Amino acid sequence: MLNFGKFLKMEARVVVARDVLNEEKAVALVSKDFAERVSLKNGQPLKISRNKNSVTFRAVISEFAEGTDIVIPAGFYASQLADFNAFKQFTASIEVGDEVDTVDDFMNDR
Amino acid sequence: MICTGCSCLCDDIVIRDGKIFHACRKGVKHLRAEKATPSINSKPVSIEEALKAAGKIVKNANNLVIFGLDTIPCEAQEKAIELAEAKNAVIDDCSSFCLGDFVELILKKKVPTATLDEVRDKAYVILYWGSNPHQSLPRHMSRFTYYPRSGKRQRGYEEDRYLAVVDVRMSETAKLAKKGGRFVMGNDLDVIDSFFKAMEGKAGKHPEVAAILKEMQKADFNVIFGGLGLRYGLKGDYSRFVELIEKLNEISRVVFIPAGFHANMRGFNELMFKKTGFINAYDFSSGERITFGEAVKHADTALVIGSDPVKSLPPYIAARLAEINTVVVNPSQSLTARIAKVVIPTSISGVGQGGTMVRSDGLTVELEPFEESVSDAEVIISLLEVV
Repeated sequence: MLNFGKFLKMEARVVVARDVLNEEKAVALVSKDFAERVSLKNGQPLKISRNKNSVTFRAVISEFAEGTDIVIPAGFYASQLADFNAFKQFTASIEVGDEVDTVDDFMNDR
Repeated sequence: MICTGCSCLCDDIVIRDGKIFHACRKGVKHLRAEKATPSINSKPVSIEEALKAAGKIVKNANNLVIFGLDTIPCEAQEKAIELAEAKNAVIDDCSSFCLGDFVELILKKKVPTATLDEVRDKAYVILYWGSNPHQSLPRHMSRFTYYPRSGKRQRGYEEDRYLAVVDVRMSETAKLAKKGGRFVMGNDLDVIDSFFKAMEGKAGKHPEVAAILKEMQKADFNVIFGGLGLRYGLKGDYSRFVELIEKLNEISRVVFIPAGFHANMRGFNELMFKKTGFINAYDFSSGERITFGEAVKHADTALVIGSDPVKSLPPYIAARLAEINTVVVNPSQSLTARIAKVVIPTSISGVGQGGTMVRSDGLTVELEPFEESVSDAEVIISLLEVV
């Protein structure tokens, strides 16, 4: 079994989906299979990076990510990672994160 | 009242003593959103001052882009198109990266369609493809598709409906389809190919689609709802999907309706189609197609109406909007309002402003406002007066 950590990045398939309850939270639904494969625990900060941008989400192991690796809610956080060519699905690199991001972390930089 | 929280435009919402009845969680969130305040450079001002400042910015704009518009009534959208024409500006809405392409297929009569009322009364197989109404259109299934006992489908979901879902992952709707219908998990093009193979009596990558075909043959009215997952899964080439719908109609009646967008996206698409022959993303100076994502790179001014692109679009757009003169016209306090030069609050469509909207199936709906407040049409007319 692979044990990913701060110094080991891995690739994951990420799907962006509507999630009314979580759309304002940095929550990433992770499939049970994928979580087991990378030894990811429920609640662990998960940093997802793509195209020089990254967001740290709180990982939640969920049946609603079955079929892919990770599902993130459509909204502000997903927009930091997606682009017009990969609006609904993309491959990203993941690693263990520190603190879960907030909207203000990004907005205060603007 | 009519809820304008999504393209279902539910007409049975009651607001009494500050409580909201019958609305879904999405509708409640829409109706209870924190109100925006008029501001210039983030400092609170009167609405008159904000209007005056916005008028000056729009008048002096050399390269204006107007964006959003999907949550405002058709009458206000018409005025925004007029403003874009008067300023030789670019105008676009969310449909250029949402389900506009599907609406275009319908407006160009490339696929057969129907109303949601016909679906409620007649549909047997209800196939959600790349769509999860549980989240995107929370009352779609209870008002129009799977649960209602209506017309020829009096025995409802227990016997008179067959739910099928195609998706790349297990969604809430897919979980429901797994119980009594069929869930096909896979790539959209592979699933389309499997349908063709099944119609030839062969097994494709997803042989389970044969069960859906068999159910379709039992009825004289079936529907496919296409969502954003399907739109992006087809990668811009809809020919194979259109061909599939044609072929399915040789074995049974199958109609197509786009599923899951803003309250009046279709209204904007229809108005633009009538005016320009394009459904969105139009440059009045060149007569050519250009999306907001491209136009904003060259614009000196952005007028964002009833939308929050900082929340829903890639970060380069937020960075660009913060650099140029951005005017936001919106009922609620949005992330785009936080970086805008001028913010003008308007009322929520259907609450403080009336007019008409077009539901996802093309039905025109008259809004029933119960209080009077600043409307989007009034704001846009005031901008038109100064340019």
